[in-house]
Amino acid sequence: MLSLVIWWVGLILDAVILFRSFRGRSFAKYPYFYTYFTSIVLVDLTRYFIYTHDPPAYRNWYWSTEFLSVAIGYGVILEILRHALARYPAVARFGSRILWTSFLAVLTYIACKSLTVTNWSAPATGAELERDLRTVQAFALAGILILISHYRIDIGRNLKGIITGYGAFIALSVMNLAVQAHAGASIQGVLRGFQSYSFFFSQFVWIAALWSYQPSPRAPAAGRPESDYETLSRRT
Amino acid sequence: MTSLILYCAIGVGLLVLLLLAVLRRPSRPEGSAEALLEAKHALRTLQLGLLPQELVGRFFARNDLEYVVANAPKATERLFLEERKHIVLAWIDQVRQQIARLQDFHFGHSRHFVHVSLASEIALAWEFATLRMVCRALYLLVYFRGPYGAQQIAGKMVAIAARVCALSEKSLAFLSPAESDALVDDSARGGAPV
Repeated sequence: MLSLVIWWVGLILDAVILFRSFRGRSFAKYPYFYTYFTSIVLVDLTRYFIYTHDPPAYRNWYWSTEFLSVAIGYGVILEILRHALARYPAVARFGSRILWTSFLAVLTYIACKSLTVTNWSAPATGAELERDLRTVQAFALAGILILISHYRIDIGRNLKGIITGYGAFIALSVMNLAVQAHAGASIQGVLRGFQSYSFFFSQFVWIAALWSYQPSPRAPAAGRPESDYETLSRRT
Repeated sequence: MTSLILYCAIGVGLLVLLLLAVLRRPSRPEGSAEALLEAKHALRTLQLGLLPQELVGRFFARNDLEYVVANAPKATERLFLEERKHIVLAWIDQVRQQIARLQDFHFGHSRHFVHVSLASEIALAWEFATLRMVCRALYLLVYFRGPYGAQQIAGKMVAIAARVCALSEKSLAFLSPAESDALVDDSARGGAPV
């Protein structure tokens, strides 16, 4: 019963986020993020349908759709990269290198895993596999965050929200999946519930941050050229 | 168990980076003369005021201590060590502040350039990070072991700071007045070479 309540609350929050994205006209501004989000909503709806109509099939469906959401999650990182670093070509180049390297790491990892694991959708290997894929995403996001902090790049409220919500979700997922993989099937149900709670946090952050469209600020402009000239000529 | 700790550390690390990125102070005005001059001032202070060899040598010179030990009572020796420690700590603090200013300028500035190479940026970031770490270590050593307990690290700090200053000098070179050739009367009669 509780899991159904969580589900409904989650779906209501999803609906609020999507509604605000159309009202605030931010859907077109952050297309990758909202594509990710819409696909998460669709995945949630199909999961709900299967959970209520065909419970034995739920586990396999859960893990296959989970991998889909991990893959689409790269869209959010791409969105962060596109908006935060667009005005700084060299920094954006570093960022896209980080993103492509992590993407290549994921492909290599999946290729290696497919050679060693025969049953892909087995829930036993699911947590371990998702943990590793999320970890690669965590590294990609960490690289971009380092660039943002290092080059003192200003980000607006919308982007801050996207970064905080998705970053916190990834960080908590990595820890949660690590515990799941360590503890085995015995507490997987409880921990999956914890993952839903951590997604609630992200949803609340996204509702607050994406309520209306606010682009990333340009760094404050320097003073008038003539006053800059006066400052320079006075002190050199 | 090790892998569990490792993955949890990765998660916590990402959360810390998130906090740092979101709660960071806003950046300085882009390309303002004030920022350029501040960086130039920091560089000059480091090169001429804080890092000259004689000055650093004087801070850590043992002959001052030997003179006090030989000619003054114990209380004076203690006072001397205390005063010298305060001076050295203030010096390290000053170096640290000026280095932080230079670093702020560099990374606020280099983000605008298209042809910045990743390798050189990493190298510079590494130099700054090492320097700030060595400054901190030196501060702690002097604080706990006194002014004569960390001469080697002080030498290392000065060497790295000199390298960083040389790199900064290149990027701030346009603010230094160019050396002009001496005016000579070599123009031909009836014409002036321009």
